Amino acid sequence: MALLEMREAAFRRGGQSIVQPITLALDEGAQFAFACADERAAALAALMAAGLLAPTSGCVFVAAFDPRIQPVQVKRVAGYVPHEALPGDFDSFTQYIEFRAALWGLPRAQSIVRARALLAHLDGVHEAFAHPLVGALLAEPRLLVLDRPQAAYAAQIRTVARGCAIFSTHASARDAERFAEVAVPA
Amino acid sequence: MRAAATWAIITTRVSKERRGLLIAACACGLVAYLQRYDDASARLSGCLLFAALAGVVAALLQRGAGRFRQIELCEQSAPLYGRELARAIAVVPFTVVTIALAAYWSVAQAYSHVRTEEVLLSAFGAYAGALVALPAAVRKGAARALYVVAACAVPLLCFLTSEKAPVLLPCLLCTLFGFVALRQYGEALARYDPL
Repeated sequence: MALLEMREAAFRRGGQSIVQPITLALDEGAQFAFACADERAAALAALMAAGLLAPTSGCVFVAAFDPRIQPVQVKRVAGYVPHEALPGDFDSFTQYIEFRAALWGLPRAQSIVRARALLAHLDGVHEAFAHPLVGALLAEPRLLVLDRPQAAYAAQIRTVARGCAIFSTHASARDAERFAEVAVPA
Repeated sequence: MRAAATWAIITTRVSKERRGLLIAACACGLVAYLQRYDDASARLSGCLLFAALAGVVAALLQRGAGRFRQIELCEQSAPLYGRELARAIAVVPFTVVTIALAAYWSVAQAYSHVRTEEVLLSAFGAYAGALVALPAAVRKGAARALYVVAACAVPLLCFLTSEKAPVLLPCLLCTLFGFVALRQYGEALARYDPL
């Protein structure tokens, strides 16, 4: 059974096709770097793969769960890391981790220890990317969805997300190739 | 929903609204002072107007305003149902309204006798207005404007009904409007389109 399955999943808005139909299957523990037409398509494709945005046509399944009718089950399986640095709504990294631990129902103290251990592996990674990545990995997702990650961080991401299936979207085939061996042009 | 998740959402969001809470409390306290010699009806309308306004503004700022993008992303990607998220977020404008009402009636009490019905009516009207405004935060265009107009109309309806009918009727109406609005907000969050 594929952990992430996208069947002709496409996104249109206002009569304009933004994400071309995507068909793929990603197995447990596998990695896939998907090249999209542009940055907007890459951002939306990542949201669709994480079950946070419903495709306007086609369908997406995460661990055989349909995000339209089983969003909670999907969100227990998938972790999403955004591309853009979000404004700091939290006063500290610990506060951010405590908030995420509470939302996912994780033990607070253990989560902080685990988060610090993960962060230690991400030495050199900018905190604007490292913090959301640690946050996403906190609940031990089986699928990690990355929106336009930097190729320079590929090795560290693989280290901290060991055992996790990794699906990343990129704005060009070149970016995707640099991030991983497998790249499929849009 | 786990209590820890609800508590985390409420405390995080309310702590971000400290300035809003202070402004709402000061504004309502000032209005109460200016209305200190007015009759009960004028006091009720003044309190309803300012407390509901504070609630509506707080509700509109809870989502989609680009203020809490990191918090929103965490909540949106967390394994929570839309209705659970809606209930937790609704507590924030409730808190703002409660502080505003407390400020108003505390100052009013210092100058004249405040009846329980007045406090009840103002609370139901302002809470319902804030709840009806919540779905506006996840909608755009005409639908958003319609919800904002409805949010302003609910306290007005509460006030007008209280003039003609026993206190129970406007309270029941406000409960009904608030309940329906909260349900709609939960459904909107469940199919939330973050674009």
